[in-house]
Amino acid sequence: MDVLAPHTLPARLDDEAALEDLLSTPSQALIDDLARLDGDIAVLGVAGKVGPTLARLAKRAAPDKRVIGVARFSQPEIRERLESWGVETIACDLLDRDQVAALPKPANVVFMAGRKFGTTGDEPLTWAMNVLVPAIVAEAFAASRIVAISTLCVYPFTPVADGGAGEDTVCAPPGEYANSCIGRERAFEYAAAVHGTRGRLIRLAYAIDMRYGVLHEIASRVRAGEPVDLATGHLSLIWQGDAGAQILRSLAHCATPPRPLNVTAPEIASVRALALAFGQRFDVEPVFRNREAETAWVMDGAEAARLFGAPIVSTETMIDWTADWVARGQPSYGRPTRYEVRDGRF
Amino acid sequence: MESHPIDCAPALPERFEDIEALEDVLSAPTAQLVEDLGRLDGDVLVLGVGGKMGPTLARLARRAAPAKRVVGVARFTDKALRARLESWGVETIACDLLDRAALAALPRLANVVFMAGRKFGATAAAADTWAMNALVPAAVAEAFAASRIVAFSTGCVYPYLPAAGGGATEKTAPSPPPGDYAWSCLARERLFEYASRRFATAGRLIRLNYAIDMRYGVLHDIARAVFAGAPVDLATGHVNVIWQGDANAQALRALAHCTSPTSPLNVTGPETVSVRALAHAFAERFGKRPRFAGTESATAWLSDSTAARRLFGAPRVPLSRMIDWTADWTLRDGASYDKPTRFEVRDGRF
Repeated sequence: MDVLAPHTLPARLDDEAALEDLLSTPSQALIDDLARLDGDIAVLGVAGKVGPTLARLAKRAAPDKRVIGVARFSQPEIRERLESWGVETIACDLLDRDQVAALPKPANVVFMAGRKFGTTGDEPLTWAMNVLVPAIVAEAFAASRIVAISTLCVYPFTPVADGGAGEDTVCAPPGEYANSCIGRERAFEYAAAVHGTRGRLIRLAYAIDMRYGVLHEIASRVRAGEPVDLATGHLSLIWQGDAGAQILRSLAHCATPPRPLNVTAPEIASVRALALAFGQRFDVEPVFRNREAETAWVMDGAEAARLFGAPIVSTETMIDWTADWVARGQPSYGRPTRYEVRDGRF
Repeated sequence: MESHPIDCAPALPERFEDIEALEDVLSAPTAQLVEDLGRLDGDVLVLGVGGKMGPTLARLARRAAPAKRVVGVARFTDKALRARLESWGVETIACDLLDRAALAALPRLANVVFMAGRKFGATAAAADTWAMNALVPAAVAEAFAASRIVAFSTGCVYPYLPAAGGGATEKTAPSPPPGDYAWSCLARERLFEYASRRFATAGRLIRLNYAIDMRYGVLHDIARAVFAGAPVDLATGHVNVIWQGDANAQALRALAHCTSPTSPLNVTGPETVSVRALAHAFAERFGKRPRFAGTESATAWLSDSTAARRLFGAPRVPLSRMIDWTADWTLRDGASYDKPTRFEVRDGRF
């Protein structure tokens, strides 16, 4: 498969190789958008869960562009894999101004670095990663376009019945992690105001991979007969490949000041409905605990849909793939999203 | 040079005749401050000296330690302030702290008091607020990694707590209500902490609750409202206050009580003060009847200053004296900065 389209999607994802191939297969729209974009692409913080497939996706969509992945690369195998895909790599501690200053400065930057888990217990490092690093990067890459990954967690919990937070909802989240993410957005906004930098702030929903993510967790619990917690009863999610594509396509929708953009599937997912859908596929009765709150960390994806159209992979397809993946005991990262947390402590 | 001898803090006056008298008292050192600064090596750099507290803090440092250089740094958009500081023997350097090259050119003195910050307009210009309250501290902490750094923070990093509970101690987990201002203040602390751990910098984070001057502050705001017959908003029904001279003295003395990594210290008065009771106290002195709006919330931004009292003893100026002074100042229509504290704000939007 060379170009991703709804009618070319497979019925199942056989293994990790098939999954990663699909996650990094570009759509025609992405190919066209990147072709119109001048300059090369740096992906800062490339070694997280979404970064490697995003960098590979960029390289496959725009083979003539240099795609440069930057991270500390504490796991050397990620670096080797990126190189094998044609993604150049540079090891760099983004907290070190001198190292950041020495990086090449292509016209396009996707900023993906961030810290969430372990915040409670080492709050200063989270603030440094989520506020200071953006400030350092925004200053060093003032002449580039910067698409920065933010999170739906900058919003307050909003009533599910209202369709989720729109981009103009006032940010007011609980906890140090989420507020440090506001600090990240503010640091990019500030630098854009000082330097005239163009950018976009991507408030990303839960990305869905087969190996981790809210669907993986809910499916695994249902299959194991473990209770599914409904206190967080509703979720915003999006296929990781669609998220990567929309993030890259946002490079063509940058402006100063940088405006936020919700990147999420058009619909809000019900945890109960997801569990029931997995239960049907596994032929087990899901066990629930607690009850749905009226509010959740959910957001409205109307603006992204207007810019990019609907995601290529629907929630229904993700459910099918995830059920099949979990039923066959395919790999898991073993890294829970902790989507059920409601007090902001990660 | 300052002409006053260091006989330190003569008896408190009954009233302040004028601004000169007020500033003289605000900058009169106590023996303990003289002693603490005496055992401290090196000179003193005051970053963000141009605010409401900075000038008297710098002058106080100078009077307490005449042998030390005291260097005040600010943008100095107000030229008169710069001249006043110089007249007190405080050296001045004009510097935009957001400019890292300018920051790098400042003298690296052994002792830094960091006072820069932004509160009002925080909601309207949120990015500027975060730049001042988070990015400037990160840059300062990096540039002055080898100095002691006493940084002014605020009791606003705490959650609202029950008014009857005595307030937050330094062990209370910071978790302010929503709003760019308070959270950017927590960012300031966290970035100083981060740098303190990374560079082994000694420091203290001074969580200040409401400094009292005659020209601004919670007492000033309440006294003025009562005097004018305007309603006093009770939504924030309880506060902590401390005489600005005591707050400045404790911040300077904290230079001799730095820890590595840096750690918070609540600096405020010993008592939880009822806004309603303050209004009645002023009304009695004015011969007026106070008017109120709203009712007291069950919770407020309150801090427990037990740890500071253990280090420094009780503040020198008691609340009753501050009330007397403020009533007298208000009756005589004394000078005002016309900068309301907005202590009554509960939604975090400043």
